Amino acid sequence: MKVKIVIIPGREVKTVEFSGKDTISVQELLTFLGEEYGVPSSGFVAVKNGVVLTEDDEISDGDVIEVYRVASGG
Amino acid sequence: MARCNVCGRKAVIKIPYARLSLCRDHFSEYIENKVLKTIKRYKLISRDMRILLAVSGGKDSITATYILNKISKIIGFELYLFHIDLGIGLYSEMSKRVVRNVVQSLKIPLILIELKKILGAGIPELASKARRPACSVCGVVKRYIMNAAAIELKADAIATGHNLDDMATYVFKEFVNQNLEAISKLAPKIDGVNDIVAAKIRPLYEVYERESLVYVLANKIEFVKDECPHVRFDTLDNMIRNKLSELEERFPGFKISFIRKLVKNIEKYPKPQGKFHKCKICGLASSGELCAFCRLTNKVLGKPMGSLVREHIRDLLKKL
Repeated sequence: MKVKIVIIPGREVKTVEFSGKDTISVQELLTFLGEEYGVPSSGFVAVKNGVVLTEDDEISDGDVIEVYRVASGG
Repeated sequence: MARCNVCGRKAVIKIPYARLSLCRDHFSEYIENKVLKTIKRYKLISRDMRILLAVSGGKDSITATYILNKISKIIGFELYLFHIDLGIGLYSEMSKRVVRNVVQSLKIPLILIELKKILGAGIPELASKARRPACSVCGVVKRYIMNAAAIELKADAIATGHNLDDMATYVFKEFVNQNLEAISKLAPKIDGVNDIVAAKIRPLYEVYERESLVYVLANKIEFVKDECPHVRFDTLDNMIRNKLSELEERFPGFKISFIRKLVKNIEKYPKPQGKFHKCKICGLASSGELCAFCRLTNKVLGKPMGSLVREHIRDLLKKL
């Protein structure tokens, strides 16, 4: 399955493939991103279609997920 | 899918330290109550006080704006907003627009300081002329103007949007550097000094940074999503922040427990030595003859600008 991710801030767009799966949990996605960016998975909040997701929510093939970095640089 | 422990609707957040999953409405209520309890626990605000809230437009200050606006009606205090247009290109333009939109929607009086209008230069120009990092110059400018605005407004305190993660990170950093005097200034409330230093309060002292972000996202509240172009993430602060979050994941409630223990012991930390003087140019707090802002502007612009800034703020207040 493929998921399109928009990282905020910066609006960097990534397409991530999770092979052999039909769905993944938000926790799996955030753990993946945490390892990639060197931060704990709790350092992100995921949003789909304007709705904030919890770690238990499921993500399916083709979903577009906005991922907000918790630590801000204001 | 996680469901709200109160009403069974879809949850927007799981709060491990409280063993709760909450929907948007119950989470909003939870955070608003938490801030109200923080205000009462640390005696930050009482009836008839005048509070000046510094708003950058980021998630924390916007969260503080919405929550303090609600709480001002419960406690009965006056709330003013304060924003500085730092002259950092599109980032500052966007921040100003967000703050103006919030002000329009909540109808809170705003004191807007536009750095380029008063000083003829924004932070990038000042930093370049001073040959100092932008963040260091920005700190001097923001602290000075914020204090001056609170003094001119005769505010009882300046409120900022510093959250629990900010505070825990600062405390650890100062401890690592053995700058123990600085730790005593990291309490939820810092007293002012006569008419030269305004008191400071931190109503989001017990609100996790993640909670602040979920509050604005779940309620679809506008905030600045981009970051300052000068920000750096390869800093000791960020390393500490990440490590504390790892500890929080392993031991839920670690940060809040730590910060509460700190507050209990804060009197044991040494107070900063040295007295405040009055700057001989602008009359506000200074460690020597001139305050840091008058020294900076004198060096960079050829003239100490503290008095001019105070005068500008007085003019703005007349128009409020």
